[in-house]
Amino acid sequence: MLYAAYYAVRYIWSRKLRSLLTVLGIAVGVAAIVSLLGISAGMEAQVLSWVDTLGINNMGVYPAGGEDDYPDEDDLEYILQMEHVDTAALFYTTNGQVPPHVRKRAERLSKEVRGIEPTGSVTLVGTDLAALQRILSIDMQDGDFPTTRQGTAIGARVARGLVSSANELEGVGGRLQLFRLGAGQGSKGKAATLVIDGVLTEMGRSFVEVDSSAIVSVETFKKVTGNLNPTAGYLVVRVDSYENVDLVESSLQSYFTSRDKQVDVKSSKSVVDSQQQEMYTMQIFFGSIGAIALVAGCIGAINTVLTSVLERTREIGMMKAVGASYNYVLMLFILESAVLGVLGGIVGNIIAIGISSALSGVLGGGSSGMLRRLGSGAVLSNELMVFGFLVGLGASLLAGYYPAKQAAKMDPITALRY
Amino acid sequence: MTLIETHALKKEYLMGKVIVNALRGVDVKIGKGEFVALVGPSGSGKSTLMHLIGGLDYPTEGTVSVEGEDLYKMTEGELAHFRGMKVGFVFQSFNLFNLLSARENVYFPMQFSDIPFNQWGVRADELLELVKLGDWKHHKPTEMSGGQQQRVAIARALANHPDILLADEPTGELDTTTSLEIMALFDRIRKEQGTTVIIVTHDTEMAALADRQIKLIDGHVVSDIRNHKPEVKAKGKQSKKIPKKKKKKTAPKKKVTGKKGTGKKKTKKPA
Repeated sequence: MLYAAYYAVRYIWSRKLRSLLTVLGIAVGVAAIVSLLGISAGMEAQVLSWVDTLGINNMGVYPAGGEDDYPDEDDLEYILQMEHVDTAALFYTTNGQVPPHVRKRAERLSKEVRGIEPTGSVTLVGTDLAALQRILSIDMQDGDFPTTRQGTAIGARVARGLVSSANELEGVGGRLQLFRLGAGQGSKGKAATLVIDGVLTEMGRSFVEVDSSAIVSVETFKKVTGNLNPTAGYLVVRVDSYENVDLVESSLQSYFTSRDKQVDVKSSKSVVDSQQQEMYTMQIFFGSIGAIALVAGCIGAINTVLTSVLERTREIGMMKAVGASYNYVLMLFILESAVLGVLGGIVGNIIAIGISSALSGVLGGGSSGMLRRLGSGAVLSNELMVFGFLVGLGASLLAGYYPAKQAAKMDPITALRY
Repeated sequence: MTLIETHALKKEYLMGKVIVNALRGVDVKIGKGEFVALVGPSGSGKSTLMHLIGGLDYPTEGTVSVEGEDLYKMTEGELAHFRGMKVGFVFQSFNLFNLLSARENVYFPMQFSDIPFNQWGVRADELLELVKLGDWKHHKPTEMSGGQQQRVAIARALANHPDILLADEPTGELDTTTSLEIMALFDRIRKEQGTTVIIVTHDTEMAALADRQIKLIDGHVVSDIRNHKPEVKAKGKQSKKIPKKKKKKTAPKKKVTGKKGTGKKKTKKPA
């Protein structure tokens, strides 16, 4: 057995170029599978992190039609009584991530408020602070989440803007001066001064745009905007458990229909579902590319071992004459393809690591959409690499089996006459 | 003492679409330590007979037994083991592993034996000394002359202390001087180790160097004669150790000249 392995390696070494090409064939297949599955895994991780920030039990209610469709306090009151609803909150906003028709209205509001130069504009979000704390899994990077109606929390991006402006008002305990847009920075334009209680950690995509907002209570919002009867942009509902998300979603739909309001109810589940759908499609696409590459590599390996069997027909006869059995010859050739497979698996993983780091290097920067998602990193876990290695080894063993059997079956006399 | 016995041995094979009757019922008995030459024109079945004795081929009918054991009742694995342990083959075209050095070629059959790995080198060196290739053990077959290659092949054939050494036209590709050296080597091995040596040849000069000539024509044994030799045959295996005796090149050479006459008579019947 040991000697057979030695002999197999000797033979492979004696056919360096051919062996190298075979190894590369398998390696490309393994690399394709590992890096593509790694990219999918990276995307999956990203979706999972969205679920985290979105809150798996949350859903947003957005007006889908005109002015009359905005959720109001009556709706909130009703929803809070609904079964399986843990909590809910209305969001009053001067800007931010809201559907286009809402944004139109929000823009009008945002003309009234802005932050200190050079930070640019800040979205003022007014809501039920206690409810918000339940809805989002809030994490503070600095200070505390406000517990009083006068308190203010700012998003991470706002905080960064304040720091970079070297403003004396930066950070926790500082004051955030708000001015009406277009009114200049004189006392005439000044809307309010807010004391910052804390800075939220960066949240990314969420139902509530947090990162570039100053979050205050509804009372503060009214005071700052000077609008005592503002319209809420949207409503976020937290369901008591994940299993009830669909149920609550449909009862919300029927409630708003009964109120004659057209709304979109978007659960984080549905957001994730659509992401996942997209991801599965990509996974299948990537997986098949990898599989095709591997099949091609496999055919190369079959060809190599077959050639090697044919070219060594006489040698096989000799081996049999000096005492090699069917099983020995079978093992020898399978060992040979196993060595090629092991090398292919190792080289393939190295290539995959190269591909994934190149991907995040090239695409990680500015580009958008799918490309950026690709670039956000392939996750090459140890399991995945071991899997790729085993796939390469398995493929080469499979490829080697038939030729090895041909070799083992050879009649020694016929082989010696070859 | 009979070592090898064939009974009503028949072998047919297909050559294209024609059935060739290579052997049509051969009964021979070969004793331990004999030096036998199988002679006959090409197509007479002498090589086929040798292959069947060595367990390389399967007979159509009849039996081959070695030490009373029927070869072709063995499983494939057992037969392979038989080839590895009981028989050593030497071929006309040497059939060495070109990838391996002389020493490694001699190793090769040892992986099928129970010789411990750390003894392989010692055994290989002894055998290469025996065939006078002590200085060539690290050379590859491609760097050697025909005679040297054939001697490596003989050393390899002896690796597992076989009882039977089978040589198919071992001198077919060698010049006369080298051929005589090889024949002398066979004689020595037979004498020193008690190995039964069977060679296939159509060179009557070489055949005359054996103790016994079995002549085949068209798959039948037509004559089975003993060459007149003064020496008594070696009896059985004397020792597994190979005594490193000095070259006795001259001794077999003398015999050659003596037997030339007998050999030439046999050439008259080419088929």
